[in-house]
Amino acid sequence: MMAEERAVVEVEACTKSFDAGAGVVTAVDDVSLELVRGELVALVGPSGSGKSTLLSLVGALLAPTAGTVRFEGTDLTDLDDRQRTALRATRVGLVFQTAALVPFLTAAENVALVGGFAGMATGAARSRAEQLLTELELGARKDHRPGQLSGGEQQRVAIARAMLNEPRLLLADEPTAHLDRQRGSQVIELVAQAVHEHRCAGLVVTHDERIASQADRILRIEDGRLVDG
Amino acid sequence: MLLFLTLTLAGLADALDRGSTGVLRSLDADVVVFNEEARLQLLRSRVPRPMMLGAAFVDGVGQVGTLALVPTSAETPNGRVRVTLVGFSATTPAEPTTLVEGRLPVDGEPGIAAVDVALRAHGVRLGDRLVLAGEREVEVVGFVEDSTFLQQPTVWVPPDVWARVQVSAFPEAGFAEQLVGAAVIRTRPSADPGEVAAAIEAEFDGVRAVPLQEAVSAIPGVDVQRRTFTVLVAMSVAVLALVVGLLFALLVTERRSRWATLRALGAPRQLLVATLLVQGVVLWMLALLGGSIGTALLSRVVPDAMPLDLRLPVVGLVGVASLVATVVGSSVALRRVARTDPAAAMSEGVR
Repeated sequence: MMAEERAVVEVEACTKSFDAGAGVVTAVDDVSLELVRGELVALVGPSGSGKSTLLSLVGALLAPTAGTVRFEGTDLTDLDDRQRTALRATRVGLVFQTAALVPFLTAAENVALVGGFAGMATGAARSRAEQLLTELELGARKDHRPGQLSGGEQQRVAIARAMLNEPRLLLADEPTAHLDRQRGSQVIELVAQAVHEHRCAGLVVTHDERIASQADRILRIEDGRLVDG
Repeated sequence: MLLFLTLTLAGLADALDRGSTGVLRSLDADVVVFNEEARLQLLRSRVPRPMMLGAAFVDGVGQVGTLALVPTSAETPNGRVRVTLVGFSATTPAEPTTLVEGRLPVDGEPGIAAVDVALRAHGVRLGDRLVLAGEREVEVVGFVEDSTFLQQPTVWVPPDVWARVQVSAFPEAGFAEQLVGAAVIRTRPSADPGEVAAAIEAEFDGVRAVPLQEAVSAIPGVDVQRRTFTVLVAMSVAVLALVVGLLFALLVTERRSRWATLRALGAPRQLLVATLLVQGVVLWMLALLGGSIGTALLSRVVPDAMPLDLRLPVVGLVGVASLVATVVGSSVALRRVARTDPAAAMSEGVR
Protein backbone atom coordinates (compact mmCIF):
# COMPACT_ATOMS: atom_id res chain seq x y z
CA MET A 1 0.00 0.00 0.00
CA MET A 2 2.87 2.31 0.82
CA ALA A 3 4.46 1.54 -2.51
CA GLU A 4 1.14 2.21 -4.22
CA GLU A 5 0.97 5.68 -2.73
CA ARG A 6 4.59 6.56 -3.26
CA ALA A 7 4.84 9.78 -5.23
CA VAL A 8 5.73 9.46 -8.89
CA VAL A 9 6.60 13.13 -9.02
CA GLU A 10 7.68 15.38 -6.15
CA VAL A 11 7.98 19.08 -6.82
CA GLU A 12 9.70 21.07 -4.09
CA ALA A 13 9.83 24.85 -3.93
CA CYS A 14 10.04 25.00 -7.68
CA THR A 15 10.41 28.27 -9.54
CA LYS A 16 10.65 28.85 -13.26
CA SER A 17 11.56 32.25 -14.65
CA PHE A 18 12.06 33.39 -18.20
CA ASP A 19 13.99 36.30 -19.59
CA ALA A 20 11.31 38.23 -21.46
CA GLY A 21 13.56 40.92 -22.87
CA ALA A 22 12.28 43.84 -20.82
CA GLY A 23 12.61 41.85 -17.63
CA VAL A 24 12.32 38.47 -15.94
CA VAL A 25 8.92 36.79 -15.91
CA THR A 26 8.30 34.23 -13.18
CA ALA A 27 5.82 31.75 -14.58
CA VAL A 28 5.97 29.29 -11.67
CA ASP A 29 6.77 30.66 -8.24
CA ASP A 30 7.81 28.45 -5.32
CA VAL A 31 5.45 25.58 -6.06
CA SER A 32 5.48 22.28 -4.24
CA LEU A 33 3.25 19.31 -5.02
CA GLU A 34 3.15 15.52 -5.25
CA LEU A 35 1.57 13.30 -7.85
CA VAL A 36 0.89 9.72 -6.81
CA ARG A 37 -0.06 6.58 -8.70
CA GLY A 38 -3.70 6.05 -9.54
CA GLU A 39 -4.73 9.63 -8.85
CA LEU A 40 -5.84 12.19 -11.43
CA VAL A 41 -5.10 15.75 -10.41
CA ALA A 42 -6.65 18.70 -12.21
CA LEU A 43 -4.61 21.89 -12.38
CA VAL A 44 -6.98 24.80 -12.78
CA GLY A 45 -6.20 28.43 -13.35
CA PRO A 46 -6.78 31.37 -15.64
CA SER A 47 -4.88 31.84 -18.86
CA GLY A 48 -1.26 32.84 -18.23
CA SER A 49 -1.28 31.60 -14.64
CA GLY A 50 1.59 29.16 -15.24
CA LYS A 51 -0.38 25.92 -15.67
CA SER A 52 1.41 24.73 -18.78
CA THR A 53 4.81 25.80 -17.45
CA LEU A 54 4.23 23.74 -14.31
CA LEU A 55 3.09 20.84 -16.47
CA SER A 56 6.28 21.23 -18.56
CA LEU A 57 8.42 21.16 -15.41
CA VAL A 58 6.68 18.03 -14.14
CA GLY A 59 6.96 16.36 -17.55
CA ALA A 60 10.72 16.97 -17.92
CA LEU A 61 10.12 19.41 -20.77
CA LEU A 62 11.64 22.32 -18.86
CA ALA A 63 14.25 22.55 -16.15
CA PRO A 64 13.37 24.65 -13.07
CA THR A 65 15.21 27.89 -12.31
CA ALA A 66 15.15 26.99 -8.62
CA GLY A 67 13.88 24.08 -6.55
CA THR A 68 13.74 20.43 -7.49
CA VAL A 69 11.54 18.11 -9.50
CA ARG A 70 12.03 14.45 -8.61
CA PHE A 71 10.65 11.79 -10.90
CA GLU A 72 10.46 8.43 -9.12
CA GLY A 73 13.28 9.64 -6.90
CA THR A 74 15.48 11.01 -9.70
CA ASP A 75 16.18 14.72 -9.60
CA LEU A 76 15.39 15.95 -13.11
CA THR A 77 17.97 18.74 -12.83
CA ASP A 78 20.65 16.02 -12.77
CA LEU A 79 19.59 14.82 -16.21
CA ASP A 80 20.90 16.18 -19.49
CA ASP A 81 18.70 16.79 -22.54
CA ARG A 82 19.21 13.27 -23.89
CA GLN A 83 18.27 11.67 -20.58
CA ARG A 84 15.19 13.88 -20.18
CA THR A 85 14.15 12.94 -23.73
CA ALA A 86 14.55 9.27 -22.92
CA LEU A 87 12.57 9.71 -19.70
CA ARG A 88 9.70 11.36 -21.58
CA ALA A 89 9.77 8.60 -24.19
CA THR A 90 9.60 5.77 -21.67
CA ARG A 91 7.85 7.07 -18.55
CA VAL A 92 5.71 10.08 -19.45
CA GLY A 93 2.54 10.11 -21.53
CA LEU A 94 1.49 13.45 -23.00
CA VAL A 95 -1.86 14.64 -24.34
CA PHE A 96 -1.89 18.11 -25.88
CA GLN A 97 -4.51 20.78 -26.44
CA THR A 98 -4.87 19.58 -30.01
CA ALA A 99 -4.40 15.91 -30.80
CA ALA A 100 -1.20 16.83 -32.70
CA LEU A 101 -1.28 13.68 -34.80
CA VAL A 102 0.93 13.21 -37.84
CA PRO A 103 -1.52 13.78 -40.70
CA PHE A 104 -0.13 11.23 -43.15
CA LEU A 105 -0.08 8.35 -40.63
CA THR A 106 -3.06 6.22 -39.70
CA ALA A 107 -4.45 6.22 -36.17
CA ALA A 108 -2.60 3.00 -35.33
CA GLU A 109 0.64 4.29 -36.87
CA ASN A 110 0.36 7.53 -34.88
CA VAL A 111 -0.03 5.57 -31.67
CA ALA A 112 2.76 3.11 -32.52
CA LEU A 113 5.11 5.95 -33.52
CA VAL A 114 6.11 6.74 -29.93
CA GLY A 115 6.98 3.09 -29.35
CA GLY A 116 9.94 3.65 -31.62
CA PHE A 117 11.11 6.57 -29.49
CA ALA A 118 11.16 4.24 -26.48
CA GLY A 119 12.97 1.48 -28.35
CA MET A 120 9.94 -0.79 -28.65
CA ALA A 121 9.96 -3.28 -31.54
CA THR A 122 7.75 -2.19 -34.46
CA GLY A 123 5.51 -5.26 -34.30
CA ALA A 124 5.01 -5.00 -30.54
CA ALA A 125 4.26 -1.28 -30.79
CA ARG A 126 1.77 -1.89 -33.56
CA SER A 127 -0.08 -4.62 -31.69
CA ARG A 128 -0.13 -2.59 -28.44
CA ALA A 129 -1.42 0.41 -30.43
CA GLU A 130 -4.27 -1.65 -31.87
CA GLN A 131 -5.11 -3.02 -28.42
CA LEU A 132 -5.26 0.49 -26.93
CA LEU A 133 -7.37 1.79 -29.82
CA THR A 134 -9.76 -1.10 -29.31
CA GLU A 135 -9.98 -0.29 -25.58
CA LEU A 136 -10.85 3.29 -26.53
CA GLU A 137 -13.49 2.04 -28.98
CA LEU A 138 -11.49 3.05 -32.01
CA GLY A 139 -10.63 -0.43 -33.23
CA ALA A 140 -12.64 0.06 -36.40
CA ARG A 141 -10.95 3.38 -37.07
CA LYS A 142 -7.34 2.24 -36.62
CA ASP A 143 -6.51 2.52 -40.30
CA HIS A 144 -8.07 5.96 -40.71
CA ARG A 145 -5.92 9.03 -41.05
CA PRO A 146 -6.46 11.99 -38.66
CA GLY A 147 -8.33 13.92 -41.35
CA GLN A 148 -10.94 11.15 -41.42
CA LEU A 149 -11.53 11.28 -37.65
CA SER A 150 -13.63 13.68 -35.57
CA GLY A 151 -11.98 15.97 -32.98
CA GLY A 152 -13.06 13.67 -30.14
CA GLU A 153 -11.75 10.60 -31.94
CA GLN A 154 -8.46 12.33 -32.59
CA GLN A 155 -8.07 13.13 -28.88
CA ARG A 156 -8.83 9.50 -28.06
CA VAL A 157 -6.05 8.48 -30.47
CA ALA A 158 -3.79 10.96 -28.63
CA ILE A 159 -4.72 9.33 -25.29
CA ALA A 160 -3.90 5.91 -26.74
CA ARG A 161 -0.56 7.34 -27.93
CA ALA A 162 0.14 8.68 -24.44
CA MET A 163 -0.56 5.27 -22.91
CA LEU A 164 1.44 3.19 -25.39
CA ASN A 165 4.62 3.03 -23.34
CA GLU A 166 2.74 2.34 -20.10
CA PRO A 167 3.80 5.63 -18.56
CA ARG A 168 4.25 6.30 -14.85
CA LEU A 169 2.87 9.79 -15.40
CA LEU A 170 0.11 10.94 -17.74
CA LEU A 171 0.03 14.66 -18.48
CA ALA A 172 -2.78 16.35 -20.36
CA ASP A 173 -2.54 19.99 -21.38
CA GLU A 174 -6.03 21.43 -21.93
CA PRO A 175 -7.11 18.32 -23.84
CA THR A 176 -10.71 19.49 -24.09
CA ALA A 177 -10.00 23.02 -25.33
CA HIS A 178 -11.20 22.32 -28.86
CA LEU A 179 -14.04 19.97 -27.99
CA ASP A 180 -17.66 20.62 -27.08
CA ARG A 181 -18.70 20.00 -23.46
CA GLN A 182 -19.97 16.46 -24.02
CA ARG A 183 -16.94 15.29 -25.93
CA GLY A 184 -14.63 17.14 -23.52
CA SER A 185 -16.24 15.35 -20.63
CA GLN A 186 -15.79 11.98 -22.39
CA VAL A 187 -12.12 12.71 -23.00
CA ILE A 188 -11.50 13.58 -19.32
CA GLU A 189 -13.38 10.44 -18.37
CA LEU A 190 -11.05 8.43 -20.57
CA VAL A 191 -8.00 10.14 -19.08
CA ALA A 192 -9.25 9.38 -15.58
CA GLN A 193 -10.00 5.81 -16.60
CA ALA A 194 -6.51 5.42 -18.02
CA VAL A 195 -4.96 6.78 -14.83
CA HIS A 196 -7.03 4.52 -12.59
CA GLU A 197 -6.75 1.36 -14.68
CA HIS A 198 -3.07 1.69 -15.53
CA ARG A 199 -2.16 2.91 -12.01
CA CYS A 200 -0.16 5.88 -13.19
CA ALA A 201 -0.11 9.42 -11.83
CA GLY A 202 -2.15 11.92 -13.80
CA LEU A 203 -2.15 15.69 -14.12
CA VAL A 204 -4.60 17.47 -16.35
CA VAL A 205 -4.43 21.18 -17.03
CA THR A 206 -7.72 22.92 -17.64
CA HIS A 207 -9.43 26.23 -17.10
CA ASP A 208 -12.87 24.59 -17.09
CA GLU A 209 -14.00 23.95 -13.51
CA ARG A 210 -16.75 21.53 -14.57
CA ILE A 211 -14.21 19.38 -16.46
CA ALA A 212 -11.88 19.60 -13.44
CA SER A 213 -14.57 18.23 -11.17
CA GLN A 214 -14.08 14.82 -12.82
CA ALA A 215 -10.57 14.63 -11.33
CA ASP A 216 -9.71 13.08 -7.96
CA ARG A 217 -8.08 16.28 -6.70
CA ILE A 218 -8.03 19.88 -7.89
CA LEU A 219 -5.09 22.27 -7.61
CA ARG A 220 -5.53 25.94 -8.36
CA ILE A 221 -2.78 28.16 -9.67
CA GLU A 222 -2.73 31.94 -9.93
CA ASP A 223 0.21 34.09 -10.96
CA GLY A 224 2.46 31.06 -10.81
CA ARG A 225 1.55 30.09 -7.22
CA LEU A 226 -0.67 27.28 -6.00
CA VAL A 227 -3.55 28.71 -4.00
CA ASP A 228 -5.94 27.07 -1.60
CA GLY A 229 -9.02 25.96 -3.29
CA MET B 1 13.23 22.12 -62.55
CA LEU B 2 16.48 23.64 -61.27
CA LEU B 3 18.26 20.33 -61.59
CA PHE B 4 16.83 19.93 -65.09
CA LEU B 5 18.28 23.34 -65.95
CA THR B 6 21.62 22.48 -64.32
CA LEU B 7 21.82 19.13 -66.06
CA THR B 8 20.90 20.72 -69.40
CA LEU B 9 23.63 23.34 -68.97
CA ALA B 10 26.15 20.72 -67.89
CA GLY B 11 25.13 18.40 -70.73
CA LEU B 12 25.44 21.22 -73.23
CA ALA B 13 28.84 22.24 -71.85
CA ASP B 14 30.04 18.65 -71.93
CA ALA B 15 28.84 18.03 -75.48
CA LEU B 16 30.33 21.32 -76.73
CA ASP B 17 33.61 20.57 -75.01
CA ARG B 18 33.79 17.04 -76.32
CA GLY B 19 32.78 18.16 -79.79
CA SER B 20 35.66 20.62 -79.86
CA THR B 21 38.37 18.54 -78.30
CA GLY B 22 37.76 14.96 -79.43
CA VAL B 23 40.62 14.96 -81.94
CA LEU B 24 43.22 15.43 -79.19
CA ARG B 25 41.43 13.45 -76.48
CA SER B 26 41.25 10.43 -78.78
CA LEU B 27 45.05 10.19 -78.78
CA ASP B 28 47.19 8.19 -76.40
CA ALA B 29 49.71 11.03 -76.11
CA ASP B 30 51.21 13.21 -73.39
CA VAL B 31 52.84 16.21 -75.10
CA VAL B 32 52.03 18.24 -78.22
CA VAL B 33 54.69 20.34 -79.98
CA PHE B 34 53.65 23.36 -82.08
CA ASN B 35 55.73 25.92 -83.93
CA GLU B 36 55.92 29.06 -81.82
CA GLU B 37 53.94 31.29 -84.22
CA ALA B 38 51.03 28.84 -84.19
CA ARG B 39 50.18 29.89 -80.61
CA LEU B 40 49.13 26.37 -79.72
CA GLN B 41 46.66 26.21 -82.63
CA LEU B 42 46.61 22.85 -84.38
CA LEU B 43 45.28 24.32 -87.64
CA ARG B 44 48.19 26.77 -87.83
CA SER B 45 50.99 24.61 -86.57
CA ARG B 46 53.83 23.73 -88.90
CA VAL B 47 56.87 22.20 -87.26
CA PRO B 48 59.95 21.20 -89.26
CA ARG B 49 60.22 17.49 -89.90
CA PRO B 50 63.83 17.35 -88.63
CA MET B 51 62.68 18.76 -85.30
CA MET B 52 60.05 16.06 -85.07
CA LEU B 53 62.61 13.38 -85.80
CA GLY B 54 65.06 14.92 -83.35
CA ALA B 55 62.46 15.04 -80.57
CA ALA B 56 62.65 11.28 -80.30
CA PHE B 57 66.11 11.67 -78.74
CA VAL B 58 65.08 14.05 -75.98
CA ASP B 59 65.12 12.59 -72.48
CA GLY B 60 61.76 11.17 -71.44
CA VAL B 61 60.35 10.95 -74.98
CA GLY B 62 58.99 7.54 -75.81
CA GLN B 63 57.44 7.82 -79.24
CA VAL B 64 56.75 10.67 -81.68
CA GLY B 65 54.08 11.05 -84.34
CA THR B 66 52.70 13.83 -86.53
CA LEU B 67 49.25 15.29 -86.51
CA ALA B 68 48.10 17.89 -89.01
CA LEU B 69 44.67 19.41 -89.49
CA VAL B 70 42.99 21.30 -92.29
CA PRO B 71 39.33 22.30 -92.63
CA THR B 72 37.75 21.06 -95.82
CA SER B 73 34.56 19.52 -97.17
CA ALA B 74 33.45 16.00 -97.93
CA GLU B 75 30.79 14.82 -100.37
CA THR B 76 28.67 12.29 -98.51
CA PRO B 77 25.63 10.31 -99.67
CA ASN B 78 23.49 13.04 -98.04
CA GLY B 79 25.39 15.97 -99.51
CA ARG B 80 28.39 18.14 -98.80
CA VAL B 81 29.55 18.31 -95.17
CA ARG B 82 32.18 20.50 -93.57
CA VAL B 83 34.84 18.28 -92.02
CA THR B 84 38.31 18.53 -90.55
CA LEU B 85 40.88 16.48 -92.38
CA VAL B 86 43.41 14.95 -89.99
CA GLY B 87 46.72 13.75 -91.34
CA PHE B 88 48.29 11.35 -88.88
CA SER B 89 51.24 9.01 -88.85
CA ALA B 90 50.09 5.44 -88.28
CA THR B 91 51.23 3.36 -85.32
CA THR B 92 52.39 6.46 -83.45
CA PRO B 93 50.84 8.51 -80.61
CA ALA B 94 49.04 10.47 -83.36
CA GLU B 95 46.82 7.50 -84.09
CA PRO B 96 43.27 7.72 -82.69
CA THR B 97 42.51 5.13 -80.02
CA THR B 98 38.76 5.23 -80.47
CA LEU B 99 38.30 2.96 -83.48
CA VAL B 100 34.86 1.35 -83.26
CA GLU B 101 34.51 -0.30 -86.67
CA GLY B 102 36.81 -1.33 -89.50
CA ARG B 103 40.44 -0.23 -89.42
CA LEU B 104 42.67 2.82 -89.61
CA PRO B 105 44.60 3.74 -92.75
CA VAL B 106 48.34 3.16 -92.69
CA ASP B 107 51.05 5.34 -94.21
CA GLY B 108 51.27 4.86 -97.97
CA GLU B 109 47.52 4.30 -98.45
CA PRO B 110 46.52 7.55 -100.16
CA GLY B 111 42.97 6.52 -101.06
CA ILE B 112 41.91 5.26 -97.63
CA ALA B 113 40.35 7.05 -94.66
CA ALA B 114 38.79 6.40 -91.26
CA VAL B 115 36.03 8.84 -90.35
CA ASP B 116 34.25 9.98 -87.22
CA VAL B 117 31.00 8.18 -86.40
CA ALA B 118 29.26 11.58 -86.65
CA LEU B 119 29.36 11.09 -90.44
CA ARG B 120 27.03 8.10 -90.11
CA ALA B 121 24.26 10.66 -89.62
CA HIS B 122 25.12 11.85 -93.15
CA GLY B 123 24.66 8.37 -94.58
CA VAL B 124 28.33 7.39 -94.64
CA ARG B 125 28.95 3.65 -94.32
CA LEU B 126 32.02 1.39 -94.52
CA GLY B 127 33.19 1.08 -98.11
CA ASP B 128 31.65 4.39 -99.20
CA ARG B 129 33.81 6.77 -101.19
CA LEU B 130 34.06 10.37 -100.02
CA VAL B 131 35.23 13.21 -102.23
CA LEU B 132 37.43 15.56 -100.21
CA ALA B 133 37.72 19.24 -101.14
CA GLY B 134 35.82 18.46 -104.34
CA GLU B 135 38.67 16.56 -105.96
CA ARG B 136 40.33 13.83 -103.87
CA GLU B 137 38.46 10.58 -103.39
CA VAL B 138 38.98 8.32 -100.37
CA GLU B 139 37.37 5.05 -99.35
CA VAL B 140 36.01 4.78 -95.82
CA VAL B 141 37.60 1.75 -94.14
CA GLY B 142 36.91 2.55 -90.50
CA PHE B 143 34.94 4.58 -87.97
CA VAL B 144 36.36 6.30 -84.92
CA GLU B 145 34.22 7.83 -82.17
CA ASP B 146 34.54 10.96 -80.08
CA SER B 147 37.15 12.48 -82.38
CA THR B 148 35.45 15.64 -83.65
CA PHE B 149 37.23 18.99 -83.84
CA LEU B 150 35.43 22.30 -83.30
CA GLN B 151 32.09 20.47 -83.68
CA GLN B 152 33.09 19.12 -87.10
CA PRO B 153 33.45 15.43 -87.97
CA THR B 154 37.00 14.34 -88.73
CA VAL B 155 38.41 12.35 -91.64
CA TRP B 156 41.64 10.58 -90.70
CA VAL B 157 44.09 10.07 -93.56
CA PRO B 158 47.84 9.46 -94.00
CA PRO B 159 49.99 12.65 -93.74
CA ASP B 160 50.63 12.95 -97.48
CA VAL B 161 46.89 13.09 -98.23
CA TRP B 162 46.61 15.92 -95.70
CA ALA B 163 49.57 17.70 -97.37
CA ARG B 164 47.94 17.57 -100.80
CA VAL B 165 44.53 18.72 -99.58
CA GLN B 166 46.27 21.47 -97.64
CA VAL B 167 47.97 22.66 -100.83
CA SER B 168 44.71 22.77 -102.76
CA ALA B 169 42.96 24.57 -99.88
CA PHE B 170 45.75 27.07 -99.34
CA PRO B 171 47.80 27.14 -102.56
CA GLU B 172 49.68 30.23 -101.37
CA ALA B 173 51.27 28.12 -98.63
CA GLY B 174 52.80 25.79 -101.21
CA PHE B 175 53.77 22.17 -100.68
CA ALA B 176 56.38 21.94 -98.00
CA GLU B 177 57.54 18.40 -97.61
CA GLN B 178 59.80 19.27 -94.70
CA LEU B 179 56.94 20.66 -92.59
CA VAL B 180 54.50 18.63 -90.55
CA GLY B 181 51.57 19.94 -88.48
CA ALA B 182 52.25 19.27 -84.83
CA ALA B 183 54.46 16.67 -83.22
CA VAL B 184 52.62 14.39 -80.85
CA ILE B 185 54.67 12.68 -78.17
CA ARG B 186 54.09 9.81 -75.82
CA THR B 187 56.48 10.09 -72.91
CA ARG B 188 58.24 7.23 -71.20
CA PRO B 189 56.18 5.80 -68.29
CA SER B 190 58.35 7.41 -65.59
CA ALA B 191 58.63 10.81 -67.29
CA ASP B 192 56.66 13.92 -66.34
CA PRO B 193 54.96 15.45 -69.42
CA GLY B 194 55.61 19.00 -68.17
CA GLU B 195 59.32 18.33 -67.80
CA VAL B 196 59.52 16.61 -71.18
CA ALA B 197 57.76 19.58 -72.80
CA ALA B 198 60.24 21.96 -71.17
CA ALA B 199 63.16 19.82 -72.34
CA ILE B 200 61.89 19.90 -75.93
CA GLU B 201 61.49 23.67 -75.85
CA ALA B 202 65.04 23.96 -74.51
CA GLU B 203 66.37 21.66 -77.21
CA PHE B 204 64.69 23.21 -80.27
CA ASP B 205 64.27 26.84 -81.23
CA GLY B 206 60.93 28.20 -82.41
CA VAL B 207 58.73 25.49 -80.93
CA ARG B 208 56.22 25.44 -78.12
CA ALA B 209 55.68 22.13 -76.34
CA VAL B 210 52.85 21.62 -73.86
CA PRO B 211 51.19 18.71 -72.05
CA LEU B 212 48.19 17.30 -73.90
CA GLN B 213 45.63 18.83 -71.50
CA GLU B 214 47.06 22.29 -72.09
CA ALA B 215 46.86 21.74 -75.84
CA VAL B 216 43.23 20.67 -75.41
CA SER B 217 42.46 23.85 -73.44
CA ALA B 218 44.15 25.93 -76.17
CA ILE B 219 41.69 24.78 -78.84
CA PRO B 220 39.78 27.94 -79.88
CA GLY B 221 36.84 28.67 -77.60
CA VAL B 222 37.38 25.72 -75.29
CA ASP B 223 38.81 27.63 -72.35
CA VAL B 224 36.24 30.46 -72.51
CA GLN B 225 33.48 27.94 -73.03
CA ARG B 226 34.58 25.91 -70.01
CA ARG B 227 34.80 28.98 -67.79
CA THR B 228 31.46 30.34 -68.97
CA PHE B 229 29.61 27.10 -68.42
CA THR B 230 31.37 26.47 -65.11
CA VAL B 231 30.09 29.84 -63.89
CA LEU B 232 26.58 29.09 -65.19
CA VAL B 233 26.46 25.63 -63.65
CA ALA B 234 27.94 26.93 -60.37
CA MET B 235 25.35 29.70 -60.29
CA SER B 236 22.49 27.30 -60.86
CA VAL B 237 23.85 25.02 -58.12
CA ALA B 238 24.10 28.06 -55.81
CA VAL B 239 20.49 28.99 -56.66
CA LEU B 240 19.57 25.38 -55.94
CA ALA B 241 21.17 25.65 -52.48
CA LEU B 242 19.26 28.87 -51.88
CA VAL B 243 15.94 27.42 -53.01
CA VAL B 244 16.46 24.26 -50.95
CA GLY B 245 17.33 26.47 -47.98
CA LEU B 246 14.16 28.51 -48.38
CA LEU B 247 12.04 25.42 -48.98
CA PHE B 248 13.33 23.73 -45.86
CA ALA B 249 13.07 26.91 -43.82
CA LEU B 250 9.42 27.11 -44.88
CA LEU B 251 8.90 23.43 -44.15
CA VAL B 252 10.44 23.73 -40.69
CA THR B 253 8.49 26.89 -39.82
CA GLU B 254 5.25 25.36 -41.03
CA ARG B 255 5.82 22.17 -39.05
CA ARG B 256 7.40 23.74 -35.99
CA SER B 257 4.58 22.61 -33.73
CA ARG B 258 4.88 19.06 -35.06
CA TRP B 259 8.62 18.96 -34.35
CA ALA B 260 7.95 20.32 -30.85
CA THR B 261 5.24 17.72 -30.27
CA LEU B 262 7.49 14.89 -31.39
CA ARG B 263 10.31 16.19 -29.18
CA ALA B 264 7.89 16.39 -26.25
CA LEU B 265 6.80 12.82 -26.92
CA GLY B 266 10.40 11.69 -26.61
CA ALA B 267 11.78 11.82 -30.16
CA PRO B 268 15.55 12.35 -29.98
CA ARG B 269 16.97 15.40 -31.78
CA GLN B 270 19.06 13.18 -34.03
CA LEU B 271 15.96 11.32 -35.19
CA LEU B 272 14.22 14.54 -36.25
CA VAL B 273 17.35 15.81 -38.02
CA ALA B 274 17.81 12.46 -39.74
CA THR B 275 14.16 12.46 -40.80
CA LEU B 276 14.51 15.88 -42.39
CA LEU B 277 17.81 14.91 -43.97
CA VAL B 278 16.24 11.79 -45.47
CA GLN B 279 13.42 13.94 -46.85
CA GLY B 280 16.03 16.21 -48.43
CA VAL B 281 17.94 13.29 -49.94
CA VAL B 282 14.75 11.71 -51.30
CA LEU B 283 13.76 15.06 -52.79
CA TRP B 284 17.24 15.36 -54.31
CA MET B 285 17.07 11.85 -55.77
CA LEU B 286 13.66 12.49 -57.32
CA ALA B 287 14.83 15.84 -58.69
CA LEU B 288 17.99 14.27 -60.12
CA LEU B 289 16.01 11.45 -61.71
CA GLY B 290 13.40 13.82 -63.12
CA GLY B 291 16.05 16.28 -64.30
CA SER B 292 18.04 13.50 -65.97
CA ILE B 293 15.01 12.10 -67.75
CA GLY B 294 13.96 15.60 -68.85
CA THR B 295 17.42 16.44 -70.17
CA ALA B 296 17.75 13.09 -71.93
CA LEU B 297 14.39 13.67 -73.63
CA LEU B 298 15.36 17.22 -74.53
CA SER B 299 18.61 16.00 -76.10
CA ARG B 300 16.53 13.87 -78.46
CA VAL B 301 14.33 16.68 -79.68
CA VAL B 302 16.78 19.56 -80.02
CA PRO B 303 18.20 20.20 -83.51
CA ASP B 304 21.51 18.51 -84.43
CA ALA B 305 23.15 21.93 -84.50
CA MET B 306 22.70 22.15 -80.74
CA PRO B 307 25.04 19.64 -79.18
CA LEU B 308 23.35 18.34 -76.05
CA ASP B 309 24.32 15.03 -74.59
CA LEU B 310 23.90 13.73 -71.06
CA ARG B 311 26.58 11.27 -70.01
CA LEU B 312 26.67 9.36 -66.72
CA PRO B 313 29.81 11.16 -65.42
CA VAL B 314 28.04 14.51 -65.96
CA VAL B 315 24.97 13.26 -64.08
CA GLY B 316 27.31 12.04 -61.33
CA LEU B 317 29.14 15.35 -61.10
CA VAL B 318 25.95 17.43 -61.07
CA GLY B 319 24.44 14.90 -58.66
CA VAL B 320 27.27 15.30 -56.16
CA ALA B 321 27.28 19.11 -56.50
CA SER B 322 23.52 19.30 -56.06
CA LEU B 323 23.61 16.91 -53.09
CA VAL B 324 26.17 19.15 -51.41
CA ALA B 325 23.96 22.15 -52.28
CA THR B 326 20.96 20.34 -50.76
CA VAL B 327 22.83 19.56 -47.54
CA VAL B 328 24.28 23.09 -47.32
CA GLY B 329 20.91 24.65 -48.16
CA SER B 330 19.07 22.61 -45.57
CA SER B 331 21.71 23.00 -42.85
CA VAL B 332 20.09 26.11 -41.33
CA ALA B 333 16.74 24.34 -41.19
CA LEU B 334 18.39 21.26 -39.72
CA ARG B 335 19.94 23.39 -36.97
CA ARG B 336 16.54 24.86 -36.18
CA VAL B 337 14.98 21.42 -35.96
CA ALA B 338 17.82 20.21 -33.74
CA ARG B 339 17.16 23.12 -31.40
CA THR B 340 13.40 22.59 -31.22
CA ASP B 341 12.18 23.25 -27.70
CA PRO B 342 9.86 20.42 -26.59
CA ALA B 343 8.13 22.79 -24.18
CA ALA B 344 6.84 24.71 -27.21
CA ALA B 345 4.32 21.91 -27.64
CA MET B 346 2.45 23.22 -24.59
CA SER B 347 -0.52 25.54 -24.98
CA GLU B 348 0.66 28.61 -23.09
CA GLY B 349 3.95 28.59 -24.90
CA VAL B 350 5.75 30.66 -22.24
CA ARG B 351 9.02 32.18 -23.60
